[in-house]
Amino acid sequence: MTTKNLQLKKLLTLDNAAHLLMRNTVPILFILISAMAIPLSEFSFSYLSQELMTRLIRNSFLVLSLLIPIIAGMGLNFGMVLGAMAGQVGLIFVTDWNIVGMPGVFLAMIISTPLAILLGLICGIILNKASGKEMVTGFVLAFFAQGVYQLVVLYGMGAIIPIERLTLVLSRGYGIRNTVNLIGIRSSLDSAISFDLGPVPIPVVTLFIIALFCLFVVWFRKTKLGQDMKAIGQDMHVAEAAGIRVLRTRIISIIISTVLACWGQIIYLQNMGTLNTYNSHEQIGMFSIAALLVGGATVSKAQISHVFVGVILFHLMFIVSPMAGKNLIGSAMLGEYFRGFVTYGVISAALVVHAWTRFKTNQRQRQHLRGN
Amino acid sequence: MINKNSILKILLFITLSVGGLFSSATQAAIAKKSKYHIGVVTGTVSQSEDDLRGAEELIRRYGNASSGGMIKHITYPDNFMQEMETTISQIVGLSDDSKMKAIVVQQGIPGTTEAFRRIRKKNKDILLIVGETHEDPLVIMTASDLTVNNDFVSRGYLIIDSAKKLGAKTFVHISFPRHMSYETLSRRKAIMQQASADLGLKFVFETAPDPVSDVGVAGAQQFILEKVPAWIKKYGKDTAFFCTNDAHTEPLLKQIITHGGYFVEADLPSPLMGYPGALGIDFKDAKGDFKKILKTVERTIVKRKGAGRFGTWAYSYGFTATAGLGEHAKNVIEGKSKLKNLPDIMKAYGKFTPSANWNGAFYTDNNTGIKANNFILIYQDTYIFGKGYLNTTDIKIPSKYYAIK
Amino acid sequence: MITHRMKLFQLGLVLTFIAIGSILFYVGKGHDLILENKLITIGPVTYKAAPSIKLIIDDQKAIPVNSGFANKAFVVGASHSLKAQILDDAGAVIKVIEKKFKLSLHNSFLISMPALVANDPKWIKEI
Repeated sequence: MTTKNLQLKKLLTLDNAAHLLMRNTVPILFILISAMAIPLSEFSFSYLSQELMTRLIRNSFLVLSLLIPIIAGMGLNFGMVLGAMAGQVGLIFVTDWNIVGMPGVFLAMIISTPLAILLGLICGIILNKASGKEMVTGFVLAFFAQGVYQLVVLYGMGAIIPIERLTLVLSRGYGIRNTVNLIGIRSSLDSAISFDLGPVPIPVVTLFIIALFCLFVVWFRKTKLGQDMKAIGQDMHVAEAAGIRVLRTRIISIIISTVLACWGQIIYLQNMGTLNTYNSHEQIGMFSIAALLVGGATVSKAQISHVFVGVILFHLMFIVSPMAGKNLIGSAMLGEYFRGFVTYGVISAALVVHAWTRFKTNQRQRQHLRGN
Repeated sequence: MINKNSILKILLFITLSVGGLFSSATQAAIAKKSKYHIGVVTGTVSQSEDDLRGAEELIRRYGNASSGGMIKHITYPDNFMQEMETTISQIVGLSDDSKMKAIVVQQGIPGTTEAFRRIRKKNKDILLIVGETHEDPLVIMTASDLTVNNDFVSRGYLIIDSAKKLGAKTFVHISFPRHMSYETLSRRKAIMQQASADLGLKFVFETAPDPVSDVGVAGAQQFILEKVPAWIKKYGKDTAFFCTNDAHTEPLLKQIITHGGYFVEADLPSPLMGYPGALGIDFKDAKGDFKKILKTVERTIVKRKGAGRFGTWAYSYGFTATAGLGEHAKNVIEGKSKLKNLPDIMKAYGKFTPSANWNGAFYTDNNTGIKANNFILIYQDTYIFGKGYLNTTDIKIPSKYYAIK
Repeated sequence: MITHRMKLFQLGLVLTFIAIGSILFYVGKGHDLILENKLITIGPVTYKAAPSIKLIIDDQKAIPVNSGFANKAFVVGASHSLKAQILDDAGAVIKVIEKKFKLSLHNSFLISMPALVANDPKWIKEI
C-alpha cells in the first residue's frame, strides 16, 4: 500500500476522525452555521465578497500581532489594547497636524511606536510578575489603561498637550471630541494601488504589508530570539536552566506584540475612516482573540493559517447572522439578539472546547506512555 | 498531501462557494411589490425602545419590505460602542438593495458617518438621514444629507428655566466622562451652568458610572438607586435632577417620587422614558396611543403625590423622530417636500404629534462659527404632569447662551 | 550585553526614523487655502475686489472665485502652481496669470484675488 493510502486509512479510523472533529470543533461549527446563514441573509455574492475582503485587510494585521506572545507562552495578549491606544494617540496628532495620505499613516506609525514600546514594556513587566495568570492580568490591565488614556486624551489634550485644530477639541477648551474625522488618511493605504477583481476591489499596498508581516513571523521563528521564545513557551524552567534570560525575553515578546498591535490599529482605522476616540480600542482585544480562536488556534499553539481562516470565518458570521436571524425570525431586533447569541455563544464554546481538548489530549498522551 | 489542515481548508472553500451560489439565487427569487424601499435603522428595545416603536409604526403604515411593502427595518447592536464594524456593515448592507431610496438612522451611533461614506461611494442617489447623532456634528454633517437633533442648545436654558418655574433652588446634573466627550452634551452642560447662575439656582455636577463600562447597566442603576436619597438629603427637596443617560433615568425617577425633588424632563424625553418601570405602570389598554399613555402616567403620578414635580414631552421624542424622519423621507422621494426645509420637517413630525408644539433652527458650531445647512436642532414643548404645558416653545432665549462654550 | 557597536546602531536607527518622520511631515502636510475675492488692505494699499476668477491649482478642477465671494481649496505638500483665469461679464477668459509658490508648514493660507491680479508680493499670506 502506498503512503498516501496508508495516511488516508489512518485518517479514516473512528478514533482519528473523532480527534479531528474535537481538535477543530469551533471552525467546523462556524462553517456549518455560516453555510446555513449565508442563503438566509439574502445578501448578493458580490456584496459578501466585498465585505469579506474589507474585513480581511482591516483585521488581519491585528490578529497576526497575537502570534508572537503565543509562541512565547504568554497566552492570548489582551494587552494589545494598549498598543491600539498608542496608535490612536499617534493618529490624533497626525490629524491635528493635518498630515494626509500615506505619509500621514506612516508618520502616525512612527510617532506612536515609542509610546507603544513604553506601554509594552510596562505591560510585560506586570505580566512577568503575574506568571501563570497572564491572560486575566492582561484583561484587567486593559481596563486600567483605559482610565489613563481617558485622563490624557479627555483632560490633558488641549490643556497641557497643545492641540491646534478647533474641530478636534471640545468647545469647553480641553479634551478631544468623541469622534475624530480621519478623512485625511481614510483609505490611503487601501486605495493607493488597487484594482478590481470582478466586484471586489483588491487593495495591493495593504495586502503587501500583511504579506510582509507574515514573512516576518516565519523568519522570526527561525532566529535565536524566536527559538528562545519557543523554548520558554514549552517550559519556562528548562529554558531558564538552558541559559535563556526568560524574563527579559517574555518582555520583548510583549513589546513586539504591542508595537504590532499599534500599527495594526492604525491600518484598521485608516480603513474605518472614523476614530471613535474612547471606544475604538475596546473592540479590538476581544474580537481579534476570538477570531484567532475560531481559526483553530489554542492558547499555546497558533499558526498563520489560523489567523486567516479565523478572520474569514469569524467575520463571515458577523456579516450574515444579523440579516439571517432577521429573515429567519421575522423581527429585526430578534435577529440582532440571534447574532449576539450565535457569535458569542460559539466563542464561549471555543474556550470550553479548548479546555476539554487539552484535558483529553493529556489523557491520550498518558495512554500512549502506558503503551496503549 | 491530504491531512487534517487541508481537509478543513477544502471544507471551507466548498462552503463559501456553495453559499455564494445559493445567495445569488435567493436574491433573484424574492418578489418585490413596492416601488421603492426606505431603510430604517434603530436600536433594540433594550437600548432605546421608543426608536424601535417608531419604526414599527412606519411598518404598520407602509408595509414591511419582506412582504412587498416599503420599509426595511434593521437594528444596530446593543453594545454599539464596542461593535462599530457590525454597525457599519449593517447600514451598508441596506444599500445592497436596488430599490433603496432613503436610509434613516435613529440614533446616529458611531459608525454612521463611515457607513454613509461607503454607501455614497457606490450610490449617489440614496437619501442619507440621521436622527440624534452620537458622533460629532461637524463629522456627520460631511456625510449625511440631513441630520436632525434635539435642540441641546436651547434646552440648556429652557430646562433650567422650567426647573425654576416648578420651584427648584438647586440643579443636579448627573453624567460621566464618555458623555462629556460629546460636543452636544458638553455644551449643554455649560449652558445649564450659566443659566443656573443667571436665574439664581445652584448648579451641581455629579458623576455616576457609565452603563457601558465594566459595571454594566445593572451597576450603574444600582449606583443611582443608592445615591439619590443621599443627594436629596444633602441638597434639600427643592432640587431638580437631570441625567444624560437613559439607563440612569428609571432609578432616578423611582427615588425622586419617594424622597422628593423635581425632574423636568429626560435627555430624550418621552412618557415611556423611565416612568413605566419606576412607577410600575401597566399600559395594556393604552398601546401606541400616546394621549392615553400620557393620561395613564399622569394619573399615577398625581396619585403618588408627584403633581407639578415631573415633566416630559407629551409625545415620545424617539418615536416621533424615527416615524417623522421616515415620513419626511417618503415625502421628499414623492416630491411633496424639500429635504432641508424646516417647516416640511416639522410637518412630518407633526403628523405623529397632534396638538404638541415644536420649535427648531439650524445648528452653528461654537468653536469654528460654521453654520450648517443640513443639521437641524428641534425641540417640543415640555408637559408637566398635574400642571400642563409650560409653553417653552414660545420663550425667546437670550442670544448670549448660544455663544457659551 | 549591549556592545558599543549595537548602541551606535540603535542610535543610528532612531535618527533615521526621526529623519523619515520629518520628511513624511513635510511631504504629507495638508494646507487649507482660503481663496478670497474681496476688498483687502495690505500695508498702505487697498485693493478692490477683482472681477470673477476661475482658479486652477496644480491639476485640480477649476474653482470659481466670484467677485465679492470666497471659496476654499485643499493642497498637500509644499510646492504648488496656480493658474488664475480672469473672466469678463460674459464668462470668457480675458487674462491668465500663472504663479508658482512654496508653502511653509503653516496650516491655513489666504490667497487674495485682488492682490494676485495686482501682482502684490503679499498675495498669499498665513492665517
